[in-house]
Amino acid sequence: MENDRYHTSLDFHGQKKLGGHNILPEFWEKKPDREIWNLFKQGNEQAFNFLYKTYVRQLFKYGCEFTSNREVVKDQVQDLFIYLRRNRAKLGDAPSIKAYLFKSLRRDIVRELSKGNRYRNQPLDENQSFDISLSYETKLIHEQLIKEKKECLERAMAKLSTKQREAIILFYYENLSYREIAEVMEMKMIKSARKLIYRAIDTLKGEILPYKSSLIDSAILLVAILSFLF
Amino acid sequence: MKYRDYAVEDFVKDEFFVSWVKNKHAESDHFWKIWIQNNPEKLETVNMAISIIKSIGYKHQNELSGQEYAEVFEGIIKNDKDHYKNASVRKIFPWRSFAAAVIISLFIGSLLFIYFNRTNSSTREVTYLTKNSPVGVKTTIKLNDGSVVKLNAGGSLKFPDEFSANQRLVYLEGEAFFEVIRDETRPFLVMTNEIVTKVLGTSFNVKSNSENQRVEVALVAGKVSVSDQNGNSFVLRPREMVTFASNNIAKGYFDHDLVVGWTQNKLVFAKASDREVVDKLENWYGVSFVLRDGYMFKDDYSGVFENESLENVLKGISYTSDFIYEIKDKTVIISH
Repeated sequence: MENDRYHTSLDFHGQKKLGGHNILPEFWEKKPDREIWNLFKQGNEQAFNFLYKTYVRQLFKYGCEFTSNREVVKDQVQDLFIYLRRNRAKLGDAPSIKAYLFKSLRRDIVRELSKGNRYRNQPLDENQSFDISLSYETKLIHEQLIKEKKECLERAMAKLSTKQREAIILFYYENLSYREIAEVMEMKMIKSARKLIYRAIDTLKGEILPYKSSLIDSAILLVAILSFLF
Repeated sequence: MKYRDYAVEDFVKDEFFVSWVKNKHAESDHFWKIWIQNNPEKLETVNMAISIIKSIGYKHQNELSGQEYAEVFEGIIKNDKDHYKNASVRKIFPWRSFAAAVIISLFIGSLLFIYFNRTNSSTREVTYLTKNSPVGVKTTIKLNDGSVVKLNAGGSLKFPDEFSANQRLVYLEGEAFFEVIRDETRPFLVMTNEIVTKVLGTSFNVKSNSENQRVEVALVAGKVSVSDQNGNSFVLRPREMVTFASNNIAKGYFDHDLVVGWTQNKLVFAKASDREVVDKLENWYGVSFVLRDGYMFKDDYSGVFENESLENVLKGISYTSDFIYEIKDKTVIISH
């Protein structure tokens, strides 16, 4: 389960914390995206290393939601970075690097899959694309509650449209803003991204209502929130 | 609806909340910690929202293995070399395994680094500075991103000594005029009475009154979005203003001098009530008024004074309102 721990820490600290190969992570972590992007465009290799290190795993995971052939995803991710390096001086602005990369990979994979090489390019079944699972950290407060509701909620999530599930992953797991989700999913209006999530949440609403807690629950809650805050 | 009326589904829709749960940038952390302390009855709701947000993830466990991570990286670099030198490096040097080893060890190193720094790195303490403008004084504050805030008399601005990489968050009480340096990667957020004004770079005026919970946001140039906790969100164009009062939100155009004249030392009254006139003068000149014999100014007073002394302003107002004034140190005595 080493892998899980790694990914959990990504979740909680934002992917920028990973840092460049040779420089302390804080050096890069503190830099706004625009600065990192400009350094990369100017040919700074550490900036490139930072981009690769920060985003390659996320991109791969995301790409795998479109096809069951991981080789296709790997190739597309690799080609994307090759493209970025070759054209680095000519690249436009990327106010959000993550949204830019996700958008590019998404477009590339969809294009590749549409080429119709059936043997190699197997699109993932719509129902399986962006399957959502609910995990829980042992430390977390509502552990028991989530355990009980987990399955109901997962089943309800599976009934959402593929687009809604994708938006949910991007919003809660990848921590993109509504603006960034609109960019990645090529929607003209931020409003559309917002609507997609709002509708999904409203559908799930019945499953996420809070429990009426017993006295013991409240005591556990209090301890948990205190440890969470301090 | 305010945060204290939020249900779980409202919290999980709220970008500001979700981004706090996921990122914990120091500034929003500060806001939420205090908010939760002040609203202990919302603990359970907030907790439920937090655990839902944190638990969402992919079902498919498609991980790039350490070896694949190195191979893809190598492929990218090699392609670059081929591209520029037009020669295959692979056959000449056994650098493939060397590069892989270096990358993997760096990867493991960073893994350990992250693991041991989990707690410290996420909770860098932010020092907040608070600047107050006493009555009678306007203060200009330069923030560390280069943005300039002109704080009107009686106002207070709280801001971090250093903004985080993701956002620029400040807290305002009273009135201020903002000239924000454009930075699309770091939105600039002004928090006032639970109203959030979000901008990328622009100039605008925010006026809040904690007594009646009223907030006015007026845009001079650029673009801002203003939202309340109810999910009401407005995008303003230049010369537009939105006013949040208790249970009433209004959007419209504004009079430039009336709203932002103060930044150019223009004291403007537009059909002001006697109460408004006194309040404004007290704040502007840092004086207090004593109204003898129950005297009140005439209602609906209009007038503009640019860089005028208190004496000249009083003289001006007295033409239409007919009173005698006496200035003693920091006190103004008005009588028939």
